[in-house]
Amino acid sequence: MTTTAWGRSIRAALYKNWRLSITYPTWLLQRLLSPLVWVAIAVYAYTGVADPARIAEAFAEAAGTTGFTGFLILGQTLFSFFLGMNWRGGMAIQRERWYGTLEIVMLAPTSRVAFILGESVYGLLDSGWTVLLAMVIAMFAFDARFTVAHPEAALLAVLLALLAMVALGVFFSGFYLLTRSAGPLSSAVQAPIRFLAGVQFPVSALPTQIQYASFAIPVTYGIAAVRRVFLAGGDIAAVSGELLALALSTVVFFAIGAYLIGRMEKEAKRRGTLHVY
Amino acid sequence: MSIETYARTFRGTYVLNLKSQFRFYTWAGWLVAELIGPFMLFASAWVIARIVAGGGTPPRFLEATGYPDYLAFVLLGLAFNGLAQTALEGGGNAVYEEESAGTWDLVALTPMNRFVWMFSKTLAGLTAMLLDTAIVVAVGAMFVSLVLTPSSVLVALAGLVLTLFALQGFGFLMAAAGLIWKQPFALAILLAPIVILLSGMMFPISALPGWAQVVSMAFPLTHGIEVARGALLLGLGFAELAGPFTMLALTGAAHMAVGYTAFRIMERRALASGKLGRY
Repeated sequence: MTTTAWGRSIRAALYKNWRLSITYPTWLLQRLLSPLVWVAIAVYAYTGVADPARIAEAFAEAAGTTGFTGFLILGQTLFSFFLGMNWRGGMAIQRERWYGTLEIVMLAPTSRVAFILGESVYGLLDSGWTVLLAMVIAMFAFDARFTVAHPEAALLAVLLALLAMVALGVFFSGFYLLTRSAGPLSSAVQAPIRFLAGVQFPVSALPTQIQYASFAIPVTYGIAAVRRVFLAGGDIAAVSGELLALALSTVVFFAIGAYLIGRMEKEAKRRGTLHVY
Repeated sequence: MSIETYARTFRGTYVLNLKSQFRFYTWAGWLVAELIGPFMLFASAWVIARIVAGGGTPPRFLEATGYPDYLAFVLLGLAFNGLAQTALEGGGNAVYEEESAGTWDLVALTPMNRFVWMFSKTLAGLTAMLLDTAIVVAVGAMFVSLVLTPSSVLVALAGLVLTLFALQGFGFLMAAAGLIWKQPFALAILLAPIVILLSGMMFPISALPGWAQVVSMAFPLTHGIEVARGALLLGLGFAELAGPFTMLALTGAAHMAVGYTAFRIMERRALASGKLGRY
């Protein structure tokens, strides 16, 4: 398959998803408001049980920052990108099942990975502006302050975090291909990843054994890198460990995902369950 | 339309949809997928307590609410999460399912009372979800202390049953919205965290801004959770919880009246604009 063919597949996915987005605008509202509401839940979960001085002191101790609202906003922003990728890339095959168009997609002489990448790229564009807008609104609503002393580090951290999430979307799509319960599964992975990646608290507050599971998830590194750069003014050297982990996990999850998609498709066809949901 | 016809509509719709709900449980992962959300939120509350109070009940929380155990407070709030989500999703889906299955026209043409049909359909979903609620409380009770005397359990159950009926208003509102905007999932997914935020599932509502507290008091779920907490955390009886019980009944009735009226208006609009059956 040529690069041009991949490009055409991606372009087709972008166009299809754009048409669907403008057909069902309710989803746009959902993408914009959900991150804001989750940030509010996280903020009030702290302010409802402890006074601001105690929270600042606890965060300074556990996370090295007193700006806990900024900490929570950045966690939710990165997690919202993950949700976008899980839904767009991860659920790409399942959506075609629901629409009744999976056979047409499977019969098209194109790479399955290119098809899923197209869905993921649309997810990045589509959730990108809504999530960032939500982040800005949350910043003003909860009086959060960010300090970017090294823009190149910020750019690299965000870019690598997003790439890792695209790879994670491809990885999950392989799993979802074989099951008739992709919908509940894709919802079920959200809560553990929200918990383990430290969206609402520093990962260091978790018991050590649980932290091992946290560091197996790329989202954790993405959130940690972005927080260090945006809250503590970290440079590339300060986040080099996280950046390396993000780059490695992108390669690993993309490779495993691409392999799984091919393998699971063959298995689903052999079992006759490709269209069962 | 006779009482017997209402009863037949209720029985037929309720039984059919209850079976339909329980068919999901034939896949073992379904229950895990449903329960993992509340348990992870409970675990998050545990971590928050570790951060701000070394794992115990935070003093400010105790002072603001009078409840002795923060984690038990969160557990009882989250036990209602599944019911709230089901009310939101079930209402919108009640019509959407028929539309996407191509059976909406048949349902719409059947000479039955639409209120009874919708009520029994969403009640079936809520009944099935009681299993999740029971599991959340039972598993959570291993980690927190609850007042489990016969009278406190009776009061909590009475509150739970009343909440089931009160939540129907959400269902009707969602069905009304789904008739016009389509894609009721999007609205349900959007409203799910808003309900967690405003009903005080994870924190005392006194933490919310003033205007949000007013909105919170208009939610039947807020009062349903308060009844459960009062009974199972403080051992309060019907007399002490008369206020929350009254508010639960009043807000539930108001939601149902508004929801059903909205549903009928939207149905008429959809009929007039030819949108009924489009999804």
